[in-house]
Amino acid sequence: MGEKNRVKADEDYQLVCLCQKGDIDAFEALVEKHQKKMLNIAYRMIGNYEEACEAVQDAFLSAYRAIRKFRGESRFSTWLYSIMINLSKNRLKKVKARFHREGLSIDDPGEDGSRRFRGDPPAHGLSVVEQLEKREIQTRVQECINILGEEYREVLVLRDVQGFSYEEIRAILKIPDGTVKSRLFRARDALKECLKKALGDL
Amino acid sequence: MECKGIREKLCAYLEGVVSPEENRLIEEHLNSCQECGNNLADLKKAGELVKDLAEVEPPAWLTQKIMSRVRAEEEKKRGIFQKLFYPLRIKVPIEALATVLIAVTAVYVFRAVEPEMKLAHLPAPTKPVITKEETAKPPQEIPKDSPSSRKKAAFKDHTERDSAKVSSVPPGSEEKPIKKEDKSALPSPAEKPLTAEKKETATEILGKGESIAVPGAAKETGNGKKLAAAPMVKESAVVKPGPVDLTVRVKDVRIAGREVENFLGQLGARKIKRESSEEKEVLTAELKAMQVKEFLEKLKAIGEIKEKGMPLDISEGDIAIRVEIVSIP
Repeated sequence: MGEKNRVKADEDYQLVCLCQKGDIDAFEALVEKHQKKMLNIAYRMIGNYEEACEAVQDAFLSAYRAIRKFRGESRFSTWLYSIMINLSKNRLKKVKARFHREGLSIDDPGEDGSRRFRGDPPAHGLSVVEQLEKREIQTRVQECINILGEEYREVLVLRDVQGFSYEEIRAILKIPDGTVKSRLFRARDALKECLKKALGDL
Repeated sequence: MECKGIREKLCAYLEGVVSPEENRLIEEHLNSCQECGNNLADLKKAGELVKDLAEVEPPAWLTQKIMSRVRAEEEKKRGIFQKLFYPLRIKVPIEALATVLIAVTAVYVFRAVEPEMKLAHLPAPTKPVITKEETAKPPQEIPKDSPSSRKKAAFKDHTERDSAKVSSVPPGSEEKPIKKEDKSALPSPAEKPLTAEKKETATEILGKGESIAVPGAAKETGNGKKLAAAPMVKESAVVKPGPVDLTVRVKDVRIAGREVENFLGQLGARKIKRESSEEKEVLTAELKAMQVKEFLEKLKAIGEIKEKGMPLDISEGDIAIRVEIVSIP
């Protein structure tokens, strides 16, 4: 019952219907609307801006190919983010494999990190030093996320970075609530330990 | 030992998803254990740091890139579609043109072959076809023949005049229009210089008609209309088995007419025509020669028959039959 209302409340429903009828402009509207969230999920999942952009393109393309199969069992955004998570994981594997071939480890924080990871945009209203400091911290946080195994990474990204509800995460990842929670807590614990090492004092 | 158990629950505690009992235990422990308190603080801090992660902005080109890929995909899909259907734009006019061309060629070829086809049909005619043509021709041929015979008379050729006499004898009812034609034809100068050749062919035709017509006419049925019909039958006799001309005398002309018509139908006769007048019924039809006998027997059952021009020895082809039903006086 609650699910039905939620599907009805899906603001993308109209646009999705138009897309299913072959309206490309409607799909463009959906891309415009969701690309930022998609990119942020991908970026936090992969830890590389360029790779994330590629992953977002792939995700929207596969969403377009599959949009006729979307039956509205969940919200469109949930469906879309689910695709994004899966493609991010795929790309992550590719990236890792590439780094392995090149004798580098993407999971190795610190070493040459500034070159590998594009810095986060500066936060406004802070001094240059503060901005640099914040940027450095954010880079470290991202590096620590990168260490996490992908099943921990995805719950952490969705819950703590993107702020999805447990219910949404369950729907996106299609795993039971208990699993989401246990993974999340382990992810946080691991992240805390990593950050303690990386930043010294928290 | 206790600290480890507490640490595992700290996240859940932060989230507020522990049971009240656990919550109480954790808080009691945190008050007494510095390490675990620090741990909780670190966990909170880490959570804040993660939440503080700034959002990245998508590059300006991202939407365009995605849409260009989507459209390229759509084009590819349409490409396959177009391979199948796009040529329609060119195809339809080409097909229309081809159809017209084929139609024109077909007509042209048909026209070119037509005379040959006629030739091919003539020597191997199915007999019904001939009778059809033959029965249809006489009314046209008679007027043709007659004027020429009249012209011959005008030339005062004795032998020809004889044949002209014969030809002008039979068609009583048709004579008037023929004469009219003759009169109009005679003064015309174009008609006068008829070549001897033409005359000869005319006499030839007449001669043929005469030779067969004479026995028919000689039988003297004494009926004007019958005489008029005689030449018709005569004409067909030139090529095919002779006609059968029957007169049946019966009590009730109408019933007999219907009966005869039924007989003809049963025997598979074609072109059955029935003409009724006050005192008689005239039926004409084409009947298979082998069935003529059967037909005659049936007729005998109805009434008294008079027959003439009876080629009973013929067993093939169709025979034109004319049955006149008159009442017994």
